[in-house]
Amino acid sequence: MKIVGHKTRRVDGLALAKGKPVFADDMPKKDFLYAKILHSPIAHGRIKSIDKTEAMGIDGIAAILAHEDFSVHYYTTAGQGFPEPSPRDTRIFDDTVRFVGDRVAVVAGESLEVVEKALKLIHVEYEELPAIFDVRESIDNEIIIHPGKDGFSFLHDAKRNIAANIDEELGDVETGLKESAHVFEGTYYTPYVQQAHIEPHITLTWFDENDRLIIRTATQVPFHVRRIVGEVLDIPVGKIRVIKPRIGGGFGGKQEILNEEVCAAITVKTGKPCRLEYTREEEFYAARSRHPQYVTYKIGFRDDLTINAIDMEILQNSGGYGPHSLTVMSVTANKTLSLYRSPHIRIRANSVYTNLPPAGAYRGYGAPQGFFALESLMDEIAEKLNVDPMDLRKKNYFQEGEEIPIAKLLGEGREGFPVILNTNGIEACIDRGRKLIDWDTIRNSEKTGVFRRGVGVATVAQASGIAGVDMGSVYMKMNEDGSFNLNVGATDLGTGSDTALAQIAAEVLGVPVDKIIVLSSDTDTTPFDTGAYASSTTYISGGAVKKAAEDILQQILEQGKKILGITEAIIEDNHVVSPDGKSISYQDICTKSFYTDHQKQIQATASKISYDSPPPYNATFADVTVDTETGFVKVNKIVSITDSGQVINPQMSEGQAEGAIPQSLGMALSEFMIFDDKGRAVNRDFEHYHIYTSIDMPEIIAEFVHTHEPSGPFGAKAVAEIPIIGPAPAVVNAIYNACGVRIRELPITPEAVLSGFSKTK
Amino acid sequence: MWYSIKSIQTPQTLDEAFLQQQQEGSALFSGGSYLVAEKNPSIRTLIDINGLVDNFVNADDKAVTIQAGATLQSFMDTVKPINPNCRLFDGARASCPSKNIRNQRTFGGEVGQNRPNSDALVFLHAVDADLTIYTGSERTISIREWDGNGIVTQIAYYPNKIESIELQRFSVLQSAPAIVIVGGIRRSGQLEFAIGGTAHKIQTFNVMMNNWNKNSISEIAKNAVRQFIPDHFGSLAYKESLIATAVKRLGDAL
Repeated sequence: MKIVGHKTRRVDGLALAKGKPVFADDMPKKDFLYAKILHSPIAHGRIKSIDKTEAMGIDGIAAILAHEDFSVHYYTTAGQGFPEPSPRDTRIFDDTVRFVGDRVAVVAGESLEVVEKALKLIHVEYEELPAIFDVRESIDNEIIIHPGKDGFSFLHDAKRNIAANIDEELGDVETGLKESAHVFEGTYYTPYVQQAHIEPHITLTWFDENDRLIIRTATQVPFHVRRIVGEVLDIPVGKIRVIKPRIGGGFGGKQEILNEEVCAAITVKTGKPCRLEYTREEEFYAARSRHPQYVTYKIGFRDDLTINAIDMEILQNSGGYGPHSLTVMSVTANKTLSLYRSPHIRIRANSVYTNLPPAGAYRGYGAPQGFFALESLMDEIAEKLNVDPMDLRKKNYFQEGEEIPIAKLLGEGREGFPVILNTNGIEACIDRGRKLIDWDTIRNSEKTGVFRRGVGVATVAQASGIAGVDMGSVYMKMNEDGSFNLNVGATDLGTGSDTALAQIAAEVLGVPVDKIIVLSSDTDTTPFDTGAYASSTTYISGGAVKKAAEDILQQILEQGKKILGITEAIIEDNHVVSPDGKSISYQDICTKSFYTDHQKQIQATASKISYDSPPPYNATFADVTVDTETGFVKVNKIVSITDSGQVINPQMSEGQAEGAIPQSLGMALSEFMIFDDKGRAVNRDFEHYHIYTSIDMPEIIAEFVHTHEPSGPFGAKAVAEIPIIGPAPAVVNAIYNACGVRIRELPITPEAVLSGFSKTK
Repeated sequence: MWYSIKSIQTPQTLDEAFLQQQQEGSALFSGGSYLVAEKNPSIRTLIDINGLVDNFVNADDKAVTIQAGATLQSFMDTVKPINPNCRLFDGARASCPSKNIRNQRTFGGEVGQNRPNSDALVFLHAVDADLTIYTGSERTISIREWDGNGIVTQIAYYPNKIESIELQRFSVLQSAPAIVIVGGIRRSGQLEFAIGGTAHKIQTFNVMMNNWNKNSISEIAKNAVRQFIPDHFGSLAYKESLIATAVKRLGDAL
């Protein structure tokens, strides 16, 4: 292949590098209103009254909207396919607030200054209600966070505070555990962590000359934004256009209809254009984050060290509302149970409400929580059984040709589809990583002195889109200079997916990448796509691009033959060539097709849905040094080896790994959202919430092993999420190797390491 | 900038700047890193003193003189060729990892902010730097005695009076503010430590070399931790142990 599998310049790279006005906010804002949300200062309460009089009296204030300005309608803010498998438990504004940061009202005015002044002059009287902050105390608590109301749907058990539940079993786990020679159990905790995308949530709305509502927004899911805003504000989708410009990162945080409906409501109520942007502080307490989870595994092994039964429990914190609560837990179970074979598996999971901020989608989507538990426990088991942790894992992986039963059992809020494993490069990933990290030397080195070095490994699996749910579509047409417009519903949120899709089209058509003009995404001009999530874009949308490009190629061939007046021809070097040497170029075919010969537009549409979701695999190795006098951990090196099938663009794929690794290291060592005893977020800025920066990075080696997935475009599987999963458990396992301290709760604070070390003496 | 800023003053003299600084809602503006990060809505007037303070660093064996407008990066550029092991580099690097970032912190701003978790400030306390302060006229005082009043125009310290200098910082990430930072020097037969971090203030402690032992370390840690704040990165007991470890390591190195 000439283009797929090779580095190429990003199609949006120059515009970004030159600082061109490409982001949502980069547009003239003549006569715009500026909007801000009044957030709840209490964790749980009823709004007895809202007095807007004084605030409305400020010059320049155009509107203040609160619950009494909207009819009662429940929806979910989760940007998922319809019907969304998330509880419909949210109103645009409610008379009950359920976390510090919940929406109370929106104020719009001529400047941010007057709006901020007005926010302080809205007088809200609350009846404060008792609150739940500990996820372990939520179920059957006398405090009910969503007391039953008409209009809820897809909410598992409001009276017990259970937003979502999974209770599934294959085989007979109790018997399987009883019959096992060795049974091991562990419970592991992962906290709230933030996506921390550079660009905050921002939306601009206005009416165009035809009174259609235009929404320009930083989103991963433009078509879901259109549908949900239409539903909430009772506007037909045909009267709404959503434009997704360049996005400054999303990582799942923008798979949410976070403020689009609120900004649009201002435009609808006032007829004026409006802009609503979150500050960094609001991102921390009023946006979304990773669901905290307690995950317990009980695993039974036979004497030959193969797994006989896996019993899994999840207790997940949804926060005040339940977007993504079912599906994140489902992914936790689904992905972890897709790695190791076990005849008996059981999942019992609850996602429960608390009066903390709602969690949502975050890269990995439940898999990082689950694999932190599973891969930590596998290491503990290897230690107890005195076997090499990689040998133990290798004995239990699903092999090519095997069916993964959990895939059918747990789909996207419903039964899934069977997955037969076509490709599995995990053992090659392990073998490569083991060499690159210098496993045997460091693993077996003497562990003495103040500074102790260790290595750890974690092996993980993900998916390539959601089987039977994710759908991508493209429209493609040819131009007379031999270029092609590729209009894709897929959403490039900074990942470079536009470039990968252009490469796929260019490879099929045999043209340079710069001949592919990508437009993504605009609900008026690009066809439907479920959005950028679940590692679906390359596999699903890329599949649609390949189909459309193949259709175009066939049309070029047929049109060329007609123009040349021949019946046999091939395509060679951008020409249709007859056996006797007559030829016509792409450009001439298109020009003649437009103006003179057999006139038509060469164009194609294609959609792709897959009932497969082939897992990419990854082995991550960590090399750490532990200061045993202070408990501080320094990560020296991370080796991340991934099987994502045929890599479309090696540079961008490496970039995915290099971006994912610091996010996972942050979850392991430095990031967590802290709340005080009133449920208020304590660390609401980057001075107090510590993400990895360039100077904190360890040495990183990110490589790929090659497999060819027959169901993917050119053999590709997904790459976006898989590298974020392994670093945290690999670091935890490396710390154990270094100093004998086993950490089961993230983040790994130095105090916890020191305390653990003192117990090992 | 941010919407609450109604005016940016560019005073022609330090006297003018000092008078403007006394007005409510005013803040001195030089590098701007802290100001822009915080966007304090009560600040309505910025006083741009970039034209009033110099921005160079002079360094030789006897003295390091840092003009208030000098950035941490320019400090690194100047001092590194002379003293490649200067312990202030760690903190400076953490504060401004790239030469290309727009707002680089100035030394004047770093001192003026008076943050106990500032690496640079702990270092300057440790070396007992002299500050030149303008409060209607210029005067020079020890940084350890400055009450925060006035405009810092110059910082100076004297390596030739110090036998050795060390800095130890503990933070979860190099780029994160330190939980505990200890700067230490040895001069005239005694060890001097400046201790900052997640604390209310930077404290200094002196120990005679002949009293340097486990008990003195433990005493310093016990006293220092009183000004520390427990948080999610560590209890006070843990921070006390960190201080003790840092002091011991520094003392041994000095």
